[in-house]
Amino acid sequence: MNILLIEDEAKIADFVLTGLSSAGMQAEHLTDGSAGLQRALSTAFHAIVLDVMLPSLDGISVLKRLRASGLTTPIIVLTAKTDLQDRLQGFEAGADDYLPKPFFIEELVARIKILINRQAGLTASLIEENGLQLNRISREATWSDHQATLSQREFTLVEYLIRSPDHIFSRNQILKHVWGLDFDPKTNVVDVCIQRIRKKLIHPRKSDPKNFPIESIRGIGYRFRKA
Amino acid sequence: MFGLSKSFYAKVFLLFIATTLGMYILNQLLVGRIGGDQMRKVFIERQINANLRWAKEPLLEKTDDELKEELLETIHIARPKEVRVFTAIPESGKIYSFNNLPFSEKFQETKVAIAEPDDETPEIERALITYENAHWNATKLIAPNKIIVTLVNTQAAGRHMEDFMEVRMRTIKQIFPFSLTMSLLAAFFVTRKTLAPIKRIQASLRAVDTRDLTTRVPHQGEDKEFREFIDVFNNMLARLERGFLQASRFSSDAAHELRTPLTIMQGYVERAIVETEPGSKIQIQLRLISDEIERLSSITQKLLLLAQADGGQLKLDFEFINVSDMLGELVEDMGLLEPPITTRGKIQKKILFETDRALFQQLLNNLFTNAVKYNVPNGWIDITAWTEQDKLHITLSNPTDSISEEFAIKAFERFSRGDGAHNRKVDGTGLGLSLCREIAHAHQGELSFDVLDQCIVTVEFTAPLKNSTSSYSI
Repeated sequence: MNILLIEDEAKIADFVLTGLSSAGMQAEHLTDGSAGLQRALSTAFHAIVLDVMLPSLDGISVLKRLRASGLTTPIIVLTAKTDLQDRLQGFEAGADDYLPKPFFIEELVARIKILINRQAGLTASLIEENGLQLNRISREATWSDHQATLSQREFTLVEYLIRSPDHIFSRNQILKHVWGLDFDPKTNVVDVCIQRIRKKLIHPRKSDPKNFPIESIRGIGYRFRKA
Repeated sequence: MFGLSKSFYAKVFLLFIATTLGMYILNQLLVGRIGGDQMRKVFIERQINANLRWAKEPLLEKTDDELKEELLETIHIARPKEVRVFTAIPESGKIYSFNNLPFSEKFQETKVAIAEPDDETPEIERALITYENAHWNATKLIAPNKIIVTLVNTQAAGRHMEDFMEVRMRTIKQIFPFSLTMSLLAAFFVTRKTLAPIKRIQASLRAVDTRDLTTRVPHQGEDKEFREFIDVFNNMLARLERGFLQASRFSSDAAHELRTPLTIMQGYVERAIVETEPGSKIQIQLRLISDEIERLSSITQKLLLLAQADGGQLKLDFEFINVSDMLGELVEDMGLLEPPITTRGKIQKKILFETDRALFQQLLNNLFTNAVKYNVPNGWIDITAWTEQDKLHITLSNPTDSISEEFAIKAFERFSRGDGAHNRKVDGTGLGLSLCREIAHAHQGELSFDVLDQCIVTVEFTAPLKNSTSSYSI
């Protein structure tokens, strides 16, 4: 997969590029709005990651010109601004997704994958990783031929982990993403929820709990193991 | 009455009544004195006028009675017995004074009056004469063929003055209630008239919302004094607005500027976590750093929202959501806690509330988080939600042991925390409640905070179910 990253902050670009390449994506990086626009118009990319605040030509203008020239490549906008006004402006200009800073690279990779799949016409209702299958429509999860319906919270949690395989998420991160809470990390709502997911998906006789892809990393949090 | 207080009107009325009474007393005192003098002058002037007329008639052949008649006619208000006329034929070449007149011996005392400055006819002289034991104003006219001396009793003026005073007194007594009423009416209208601009300005000032400092009070058409007053006020508003904008822009810019370094830190720390040995000491430490970065991001986000609220730029994306479901989900989460927190209370079914989903979720999360964080072991949370007269009410109560009643007063202050600044046993930023209230205000609602007996905290959110405007800036 070929991604164009237009971002003027070298350090952000650095870890984004690392993250993209470790997710198996090839990326080209430009720091300037007009150069990025030229490149995007002359070469075909699978997706474009675009920062809003750019020298020479700002991200929203780049976006508008790309859409005006008929380009349909999925574009994700990165911005330090999160106001409703900015969000709406981004979508009106033709952005496919919007990621506020600070963001997790795994989140960006996951969203790029979704956009590329959607572009390719692939149904995004099924997510599969390391033997665990999630149906986003029916909220059903299947592991080792054992199927169970998850609650909204449970499903959001599994989906959050499965989107970034091998990435370790802290309880705080999970609480914030799944519950939207800034809880005291001492609360164990995450652990209780993970326990319930395990109970629902691990068949007492047929499956081996050791192989269950969601694992706890002591003192750190949880991760979804890659195959 | 017309928006002015009763005490204000009472003061003005009292002032007017006092002025009226004062004028009346002053009148009584002065009219007696000045009026008496004026009356005497009128009598003397008329007496002289008669003489002046006679001096112009070359051949004066009028009898004494005719002269007396004319004098009475001229003075007009004197009685016949208050007037005397003496006549004689002058001897040629003789110069007459009051003392060598043919009838001078009749006068017991004669005091020649100093000629008045306007006395242009030297042949007429005045004197004060005692005659028949009474005082008289006398005039002497030496015509070519006749000497005429007229006497007018000095008491005639005084007597007439007394009559006048009595009539005046009676009149005043009769019209006094009327004049007092007039005075009160005048007080009322004068007050209204002079206070009208103040009322207008007051209305304009009230329209100046503390949250919208861009409003200015118009000064067109006002009097100079009020114009200056309005200008001073407007200048103050402008300064305030500048300061306010600067402060909120500063917070907003600072929050934006913080985002880039936070993104970089988070990016590198996450990469380092992935690259280190799972479960290693270094990885745990990196995770701690990552959690703190998360916390910084969360504070930054809250500060930005607060700055936007202060700057009146907190824009809401309104849609109807099912509050009952949202609350139900949170109540379910409470059951997941270990040890569990008992929830009770009653949530009315199917409450539809027009709100900004993200901001309202943040508000509820903050309130629930507080209710959990500041709870007691094996505690409970009471959640009640109902609608009443197109208004949504949500109350959250929980027992607590770390709060004082004083905290209720400064609960909404930024960075104020229920457990005291030095006690960090509970995580938090001290921005949550402050932000919650701004969100409530953005819904044209209110958020109240109460502490009962130092051990039960109740937070109540109220807001209209519908926000008719699609985008309301606070």
